[in-house]
Amino acid sequence: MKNPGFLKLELSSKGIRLSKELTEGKDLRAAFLARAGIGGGIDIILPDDVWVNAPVRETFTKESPYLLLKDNGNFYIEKGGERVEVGVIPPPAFYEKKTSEGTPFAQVGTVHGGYLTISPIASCDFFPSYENCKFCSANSVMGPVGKKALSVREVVEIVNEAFEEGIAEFVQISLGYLDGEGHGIASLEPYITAIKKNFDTLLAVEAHPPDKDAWIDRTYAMGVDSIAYHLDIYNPERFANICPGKTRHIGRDRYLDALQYAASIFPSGTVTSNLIVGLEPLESTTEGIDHLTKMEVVPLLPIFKPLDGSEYRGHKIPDTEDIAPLFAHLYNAVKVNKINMNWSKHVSIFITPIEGRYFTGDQAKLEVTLYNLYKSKIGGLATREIAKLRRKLKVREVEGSFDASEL
Amino acid sequence: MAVAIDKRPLWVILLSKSYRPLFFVLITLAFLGILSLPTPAGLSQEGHRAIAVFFVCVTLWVTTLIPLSITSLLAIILIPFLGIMDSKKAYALFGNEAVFFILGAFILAASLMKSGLSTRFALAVLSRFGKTPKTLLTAVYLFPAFLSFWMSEHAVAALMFPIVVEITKVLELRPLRSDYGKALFVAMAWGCIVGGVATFLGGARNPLAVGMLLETTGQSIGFFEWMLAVVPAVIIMLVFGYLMLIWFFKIDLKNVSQVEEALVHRKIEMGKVTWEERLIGLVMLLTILTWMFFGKKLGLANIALASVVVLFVLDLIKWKDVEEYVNWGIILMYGGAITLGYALDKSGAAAWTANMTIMKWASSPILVIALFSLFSIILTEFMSNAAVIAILMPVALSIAQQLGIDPKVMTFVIAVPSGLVFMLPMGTPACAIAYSSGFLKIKDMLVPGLIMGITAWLVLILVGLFYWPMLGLKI
Ligand code: SF4
Repeated sequence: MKNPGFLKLELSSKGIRLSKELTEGKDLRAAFLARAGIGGGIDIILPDDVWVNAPVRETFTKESPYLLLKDNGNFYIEKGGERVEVGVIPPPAFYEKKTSEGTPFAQVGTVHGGYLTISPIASCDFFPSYENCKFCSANSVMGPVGKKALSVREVVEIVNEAFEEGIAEFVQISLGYLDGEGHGIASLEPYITAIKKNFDTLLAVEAHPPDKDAWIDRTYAMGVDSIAYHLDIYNPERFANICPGKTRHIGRDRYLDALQYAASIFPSGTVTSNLIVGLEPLESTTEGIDHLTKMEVVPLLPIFKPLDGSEYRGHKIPDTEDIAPLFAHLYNAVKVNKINMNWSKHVSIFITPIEGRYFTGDQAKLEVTLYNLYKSKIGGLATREIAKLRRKLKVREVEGSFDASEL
Repeated sequence: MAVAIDKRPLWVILLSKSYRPLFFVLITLAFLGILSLPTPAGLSQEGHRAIAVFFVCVTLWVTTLIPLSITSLLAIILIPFLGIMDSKKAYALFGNEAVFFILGAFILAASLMKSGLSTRFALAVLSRFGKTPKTLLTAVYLFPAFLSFWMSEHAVAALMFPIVVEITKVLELRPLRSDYGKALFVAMAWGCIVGGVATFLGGARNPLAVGMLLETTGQSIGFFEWMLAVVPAVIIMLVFGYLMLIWFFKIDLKNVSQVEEALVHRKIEMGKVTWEERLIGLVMLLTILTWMFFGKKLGLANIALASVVVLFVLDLIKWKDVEEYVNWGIILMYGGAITLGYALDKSGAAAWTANMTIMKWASSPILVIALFSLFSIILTEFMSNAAVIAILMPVALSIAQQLGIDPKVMTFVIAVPSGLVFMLPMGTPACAIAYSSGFLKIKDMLVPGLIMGITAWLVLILVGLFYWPMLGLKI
């Protein structure tokens, strides 16, 4: 309970139970309107300003040894009689509103940490052919009910609501696999353009590697600040077995190639890939961390959760003690490869590389000072402005030079 | 609009961006500096000023800080402004026959592209001959080469590209990994490039060079005459290029039967050959034959423009299509280059420059030919081929006159290599298109391209030494 990193690890994998008062009271009611699945829990601020999104609704959370309770107006996490005072981020008020086209906001976007995550295109083409990733529950929770894709206007509305309420600072767009050009990134372009046009924010996208690297260039050029192509499983056999769709339609090698290429396009520390902890031997996750960090890609290590609605519901959650060394390894690997760890701010759904320091015993004073600087208001402004300037300098329209070469 | 990301470190990009204003100031200062120097002995005042203009234009053409066409416009303004030539003459040269020939050729190519006839032709040839990996590769290489005889190699590459992409998709070839995939795109690009030097139609640079020859010396090269001189070299280069392709890129698959099916499917999608296509094909055929056999008598530009009129009379093309397909920038660039070349020659600046530079140490015709073709083939890898011609031709023609080399030979040895870009994407759209497939990295084309470039240069010299004299061209 004393180590906030360890506590985050425990809470994100086992979830938390709510006291009777909290279950029945108004405080957290809106949280139950949000989509279930990753990021659908409650954001809790642990000591040392460590944020965690603790699942509360999934079946496995009933077994959690942790209890969230309110006492005298303060929130506490309790385990075996021991208590830690924490902060709780109230679920956004806009969860209870609807877009101008009548879609409930809570189905459209989820807020976790400083991020508003939106899935504007509510589908993954792996599901109809039963080629979906076995740990994934997207089919049952993804997107607005009865709607294939949101309008650009609705997406702008939700970002506006979240920003007005001051509950999010960054936008993340998440996309399942889509057949066709760029594997979906082309369809995201209007949303990305509209968000960038209307808001001064950093934008992250979770997508699948496009066939051609030119689409990665285009992804950066259209205004995406951080890109994630989730490999999820590093071990080739496991990958093929757990992610049949990804194997068949994209291939593990393409994930690695695309990540490597993206790392040469995007700023250091903004290309990420999930390696889910608990679905393959820890040694292969470690190998994956080494491989990715050598390519200057930041591995993110979400812990496997047996999500309701996924094929792996009921599977065993990995033991926290066993997996803790992975996060220490992550921190060291990112540091050794000199990858910028400061982009992530108030990330609650996974342990960030800099939070890996809690497992190393390293105080990381310099890194933490820098990180806090990035997290400050002025740091945020500088980051956004630098990101804009970088894009302006790096992106070239080739048709212009192409014409010139014809001459 | 396609984009590319500059991968240089940020500080380098920042520095290069801040260069721009600084660069313009420096160019202006250098320009004024050259003008303020005392005129050297043996050079007229006009020649002195023409050299200053030439310096500015070469710098801007090489650096492409402003579009090439705008640099040409600058030349047109500066020449009368500095009293090198009067405005009337300067602008009149802009209306050179070569410029109108290029315009006509563009419009004819636009009609071919727009009607889909060229694509249909490509599909027919590839599905007919592409039965095995080797024959498919040969077809992807030779067909664009042949087509580039008759229309701009850029247009050929643009029409071939989606077809080759489809072939790689059907064969499930993996970008950057499949050698056969790489070979297909390199074959397409090289085919276009080598074929593009064979006639006046493959690259508008060839008529530009002939236009400069005409304005400077009064001599010209006919359509058929050009082909007669260049096609043997093209054939040798094509054979060598094919050997290089199969040497450098392994044919790593056994079966391409799926391709025929896909191409036939595309053919079916295009439907029957329309009357419009037939008529355009006929006009094109007649135009080419007239160019070949009556080009000298009737004038190449006249024939081209007459065919354009016929296309409009028969309602086979609309002005909207012309606007879409014609690259007006080229027309402006060429007009300016011809004017500047003329000014350099008539003011004596070209002869003076030649005497002060190459003539000082290269007095044998063979050496001069070898040198100019080498300059041309190297420069064209890094800059636009039209700019190479605009820079080298005035000086080369002057040297030719002094050494008694037939100026037509100089035109060939500069114009032909200026189209032969085998390595880098900057030099020609065909290479840029091949790179844009995502199958190739620069290093894939570097070594084969280098060998191909050296061979092409040697082939040209040998053809120049042993074959051109048979055609009456004096070296
Ligand atoms: S790609 Fe896999 S993880 Fe992503 S939505 Fe589809 S099935 Fe789920």
